[in-house]
Amino acid sequence: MPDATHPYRRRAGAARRVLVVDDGTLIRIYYRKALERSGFGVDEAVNGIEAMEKLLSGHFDLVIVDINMPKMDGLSFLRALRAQPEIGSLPAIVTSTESAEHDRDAARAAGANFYLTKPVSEDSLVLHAAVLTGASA
Amino acid sequence: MTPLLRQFLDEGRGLIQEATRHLLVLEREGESREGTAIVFRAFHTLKGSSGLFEVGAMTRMLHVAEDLLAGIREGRTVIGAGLVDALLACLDQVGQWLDTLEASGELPDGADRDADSLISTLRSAAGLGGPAVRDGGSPAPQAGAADAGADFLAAFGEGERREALRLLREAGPGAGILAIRYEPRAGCFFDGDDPLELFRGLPGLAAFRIEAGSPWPVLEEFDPFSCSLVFRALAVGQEERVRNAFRLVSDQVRIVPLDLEMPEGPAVRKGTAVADAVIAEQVRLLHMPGCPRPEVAGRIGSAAAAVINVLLYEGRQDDVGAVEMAADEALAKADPRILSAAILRMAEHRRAEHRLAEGGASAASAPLTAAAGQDQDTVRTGAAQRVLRVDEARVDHLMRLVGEMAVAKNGLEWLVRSSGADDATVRRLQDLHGTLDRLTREMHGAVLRIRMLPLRQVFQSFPRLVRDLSNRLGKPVRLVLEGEDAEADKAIVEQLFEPVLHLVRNSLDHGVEAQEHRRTAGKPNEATLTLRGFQSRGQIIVEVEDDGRGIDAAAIRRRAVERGLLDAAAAAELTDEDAVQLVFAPGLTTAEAVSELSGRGVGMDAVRAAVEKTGGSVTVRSRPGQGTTVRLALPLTLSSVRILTVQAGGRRLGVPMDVVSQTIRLPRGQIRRVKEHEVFVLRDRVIPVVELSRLLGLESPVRSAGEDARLLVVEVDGRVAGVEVDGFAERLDAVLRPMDGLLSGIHGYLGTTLLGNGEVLLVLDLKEILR
Repeated sequence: MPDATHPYRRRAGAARRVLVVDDGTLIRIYYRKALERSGFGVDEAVNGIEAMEKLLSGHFDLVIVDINMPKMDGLSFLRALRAQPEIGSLPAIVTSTESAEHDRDAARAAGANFYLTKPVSEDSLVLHAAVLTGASA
Repeated sequence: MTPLLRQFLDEGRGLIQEATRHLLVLEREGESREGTAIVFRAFHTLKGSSGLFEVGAMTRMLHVAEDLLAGIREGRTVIGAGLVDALLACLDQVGQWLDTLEASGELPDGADRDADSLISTLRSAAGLGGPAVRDGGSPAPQAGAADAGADFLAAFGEGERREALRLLREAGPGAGILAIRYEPRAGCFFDGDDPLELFRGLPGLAAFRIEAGSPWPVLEEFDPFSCSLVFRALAVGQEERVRNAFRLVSDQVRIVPLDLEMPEGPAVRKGTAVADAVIAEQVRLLHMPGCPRPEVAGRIGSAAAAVINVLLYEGRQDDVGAVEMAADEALAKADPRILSAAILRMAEHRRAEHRLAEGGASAASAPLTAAAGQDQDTVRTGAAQRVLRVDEARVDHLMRLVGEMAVAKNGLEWLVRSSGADDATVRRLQDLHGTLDRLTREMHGAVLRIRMLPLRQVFQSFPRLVRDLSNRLGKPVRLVLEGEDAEADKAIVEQLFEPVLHLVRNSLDHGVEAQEHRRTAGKPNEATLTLRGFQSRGQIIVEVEDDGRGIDAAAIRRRAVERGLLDAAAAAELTDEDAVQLVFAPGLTTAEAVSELSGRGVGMDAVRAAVEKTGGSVTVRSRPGQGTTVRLALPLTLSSVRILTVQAGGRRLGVPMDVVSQTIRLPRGQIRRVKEHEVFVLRDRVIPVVELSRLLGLESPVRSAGEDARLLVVEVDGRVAGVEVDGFAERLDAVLRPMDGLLSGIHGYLGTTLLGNGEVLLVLDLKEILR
């Protein structure tokens, strides 16, 4: 039986929308520019709480979230997201400056679908976003 | 890993080797046109290919190196030892980066810093000095259009390239993608040029970047009215129109038409690597233990969404259904493993298709490298020696199949003789068996040859190593390589490097005398070190020979006695030749032995251990005052033997499967006594029973009448026998080490093999035992 409370199928045809969650303004601008150049719709949030509010009020195909943020950090945010019935299945990329395996494990344990080590190059960001949202090549 | 990256890694390592070799020749024999051209081409190709990947630091460094080499080629720069060192350091760095790239798919952190420091080393070695110029501020004048194309592409992001392609699809016929690089004169603002306005008015602008020119002035000297910017853009349209737009500043602009396929090809394949990684990550995520209950559904759902999106990205809609079904079931039962199992099945299917597609892709990548600036003749040689890249496991699998075929074939022979068919049929069957036998043997040989590699793989690292060692030790050494084409199994060749390295170090460190000693001994100043390889009697032989001082046999004897390896009388009885073999004894490998024994002995037992592990042997020949030759003799192949392990007399022993036609369990009542002998009947034949423990002189256990007898039906020289054992254990493929040293006198054993738990298994030679 399909679980109606966890819709994991994306809407057909619509432009992909990405929520960038990072407390660094420059990073958000950089991600936004890179993603918009490649045809993604982008919205931003500066911490986990704001991100949750945005996710609950609009449709997104991917969330890219930093680990270290004030108010609600990335991993707590991800846990809270995964426990949400309507939006819990949203694919998530975690970014962090740490590249050790236990950091990846921590992200995984929180429910991240992919992990990128900062700095993330434009090519890499766009490519991962495209693959994880199923944007046609 | 994408086929393209694979190709780059292979090609890159080859180019590094080639450039290293020729740099060493240049250094030794002085500058030559051809040598410089080869080194230049290697760097040029490396740089060109690197531009297809996200390895900016590597490209940047190689660009500077290439510029310097262009200077040498045109006689502007003189090549000297310092520059050779710097170029070699560059190649080392590229080699390391390739390793990291292979392991992690990207350059390590700090690559830019390393590149910068090597760039300044390069520049100061060439006597250029000055600040490191980022992104090749002054392109080599001789760089061709294709080369510039690769450079231009590297400057733009994936998104921008895609945008250009999208515009190109919309544009009419005759349009192309043009890369534009405009570096205005410093005084352009006063000339009435407005660079920004030029681009603003450009039709079909797809991407636009403004970069700092070089060198960027310090703040105090910064003059806002002087332009030190570089403008880069991608435009889609007709070349004439674009050139026309820049006609007034044509001397400051470079416009290069790009090949449409060039940006698209790598991008698509890069996508495959990312897709692989994303799929693998979802499986890991689903297997992550300890997920709080409320998060399980979200986790399953997000993994499903990610995988489905990968499939959509790749245009594999057909596979989506299976994943959806598994996701629904996993959600319903709150069991992530249901989904991960389905993902793994799908991934296997997907991989199989990619492998099929790769056949075409790797063929197609040759023109791609050509486009990246490789010379036509290099491409031709590449095509001449076609190499098929095969997963080692597949060859091993083939090998096992051949082994099993041999066993099955043996069964056929046995069946023919016991079938009771008429003579004509038996003869025909025997002919057929003979043919099968020959084919199986040929096939076995053919499969072994697939795994053969030339010794060059090992030898090629040594010119560089010997050069560095010889510089460090201050001992001039000429390295001679012989027989690089001799071949042996991949596993053997790969295991040769460490021992040979050890021997080379020993030779240079301790065998070769210091210069003044060589002079007094009347030897040439430059020592000669020879690495020699050849095949002999089913073995691959590698010799490391120096013309140093040799080994002092008397000192070895003394040391061996001191160490308690043997008593004085025994030591005195040894010939000099035998005495020097003691350098391989573990007890002699101490630091204080080093100086006294001309240094030999350091880690020599490690060399012996490494060689013997593969079933080889090592001997040393010393000519006092004239030199030392260490000879490694290894089997050509690590051919494994299929072995059945059995219990007999309370021990575990191995029996090669090829003599065993079957194993049976028999109620003890069916074994009868005929005169002195125990026999049983198998398919109307009376077969004698012998007990293995008794054959070996071991104690045989008391057997109860109710217990079944366990028999190996063995055929030796046309006679069949039942060999009783206490039990059968597992079958395994093992590499046999021949019985040597003290054990070599013992008959009845084929050799030994190491079991997984470190235990040594003796493998019986049943043929010999039963005769």
